[in-house]
Amino acid sequence: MTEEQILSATSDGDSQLLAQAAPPPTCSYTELQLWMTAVIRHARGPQRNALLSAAAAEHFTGSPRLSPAAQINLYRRQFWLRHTSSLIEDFPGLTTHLGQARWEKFSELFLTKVAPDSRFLGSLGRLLPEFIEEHMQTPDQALCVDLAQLEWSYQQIFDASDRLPFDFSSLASLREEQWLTLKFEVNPALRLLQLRYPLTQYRRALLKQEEVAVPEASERFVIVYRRAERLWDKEVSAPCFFLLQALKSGLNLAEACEKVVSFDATFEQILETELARYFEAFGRLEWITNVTTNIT
Amino acid sequence: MSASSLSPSTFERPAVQVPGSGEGRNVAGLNSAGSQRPAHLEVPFLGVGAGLRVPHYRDVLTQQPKMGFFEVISENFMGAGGKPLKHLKMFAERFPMILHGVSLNIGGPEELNLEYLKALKQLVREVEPAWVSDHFCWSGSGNAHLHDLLPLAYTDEVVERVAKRARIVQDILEVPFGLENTSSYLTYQRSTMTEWEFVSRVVEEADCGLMFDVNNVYVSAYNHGFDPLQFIKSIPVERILQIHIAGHTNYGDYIIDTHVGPLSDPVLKLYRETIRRAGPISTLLEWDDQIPEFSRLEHEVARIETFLAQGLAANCPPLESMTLSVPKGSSRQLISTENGQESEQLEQSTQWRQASAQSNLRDFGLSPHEEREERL
Repeated sequence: MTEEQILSATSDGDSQLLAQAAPPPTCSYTELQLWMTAVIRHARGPQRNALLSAAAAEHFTGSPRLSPAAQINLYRRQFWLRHTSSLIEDFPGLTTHLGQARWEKFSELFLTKVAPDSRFLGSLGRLLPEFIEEHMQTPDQALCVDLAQLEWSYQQIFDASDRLPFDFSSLASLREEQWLTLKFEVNPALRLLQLRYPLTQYRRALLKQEEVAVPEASERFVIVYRRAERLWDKEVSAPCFFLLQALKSGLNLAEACEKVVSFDATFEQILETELARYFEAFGRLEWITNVTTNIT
Repeated sequence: MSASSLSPSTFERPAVQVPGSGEGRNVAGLNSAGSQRPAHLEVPFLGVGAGLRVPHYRDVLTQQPKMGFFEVISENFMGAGGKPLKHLKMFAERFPMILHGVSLNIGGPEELNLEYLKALKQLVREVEPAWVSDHFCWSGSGNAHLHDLLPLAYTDEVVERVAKRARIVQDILEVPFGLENTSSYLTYQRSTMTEWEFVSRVVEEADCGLMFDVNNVYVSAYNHGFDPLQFIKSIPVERILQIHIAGHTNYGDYIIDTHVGPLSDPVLKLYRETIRRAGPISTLLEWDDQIPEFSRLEHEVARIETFLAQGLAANCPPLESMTLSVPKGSSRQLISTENGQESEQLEQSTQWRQASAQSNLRDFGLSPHEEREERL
């Protein structure tokens, strides 16, 4: 279904279908609840459609001051306000980038097409990057996907579990060949993002309402993480990124280095000179929470 | 007794009914029929507290305020852990902490979600609240969660559905469990009983507790045109675990339970009457929108303590009646609504704003910082 088709599905024409789908007054309560859910998720108020208003009157009493349709419409309005507010809170950079008109159109499309499927309202945004990928057809689509992924990562690491950082001094006595057998557990409050645009500074500028040009495409490797009760982002080099990614997948250090070199043979030289510095930083930035070894 | 002299230790539940008022003043969990609070619903009296909100974290930590207790929205802390849970445990070590949920969906079309209950029980283990509560409502169907406290139809079928599930929840959580009467903006053609009859039947049949929200009684009474005193007179007070009290916003044709602003006098009078009938019940102020300075919150808590003390006084007269007046000209708003004009005022009710995406929590240090050091 195209964006236009979905948007048209929220129009009065679809209200007709919703009205026709109204269960009879003798229906089960479960049937009524399913229909109420559809009405509340509908982007347009039931008062705009006479059939829908009539269907509402079969199930709701109204009050001396509100019609039955106005009663259910209060809940519908709350639904839309609550969910759009939640998305704006979670994606402030994306919404600023899109601007009011584009954001309103897109968020309506998203909430019309995607049912909030989690009990936790804070989970709503997890579906947004993929939705942009599938449904946004504008020149800045890739940038928007990346920006949504970046912002969702902040939410994820905010809620991620708390682990103590690993004390690397305990490995000081290990020989090099012993290091190669080690497996490193990456902090759960850390996300690795391979982005097509340099977005961390752009987002900060957007949030400060500064004049800023939309960045040109330029691949970036970004680590988003939590440390000392604050959220951080940091750009790293490709070999550093791929090393951390390989360690996170469960490979030991030797296997991880092989994996990194498999991406680009020139990384081998970089690892030889930079590996110690990487691990010094991993420890200092609290990116590693545990180390396991089969050394006896 | 002055309000300032109130503290949790001030109140001991008297063991006998205090005579002297026309209807019989009830204390110590005795209702007008003299029945005793069920043993499994015995809970401590914690005094007056407030919903713990992020803008007040620093005040609470640095001032050690004389709050009887705090309450948080359970769902904000039911993740894997992280900062929210760390902060919650820090506060729970210093103050009695109550968990109040918004996503149980006890009246929904589907059966209870055991994964949700498992996560809630884990949180209960971590926080050790004296009781746990959620709402008489449904909040979604099929694969759609509407994140709202939708009203239930008051029928035998729904009494059975909710009571059966409430028993299960209480058995799983292994702490006193209460359901809260919600504010509502809609009533069903199929309802066959009043809200207070429904609430009473469910808590009796489930043998669970009641989280009694006085403001919600007022809001729903205004919206649907019933007598709020009738509600208060009809509920089994011996099952009340806690009272909620909050501000609301009157739009003329309807009131929305916005949890904003100071408490209205009518709501405080209803609260005093509830206390007069029920005895000392832990009471919590909910202020979730346009959150004020902490000192303003403390001032409002002190107001509640005054009404609490008045309600407990032996000479407190019963509240005989309450008129819910509708502002003149409010019907014009109905006409505009009927014409399909969306009101420019977009209100948002209840704790969902507070729970939304942990929005307040995220203000507590979310803004990302950049690591400015050598490139890796």
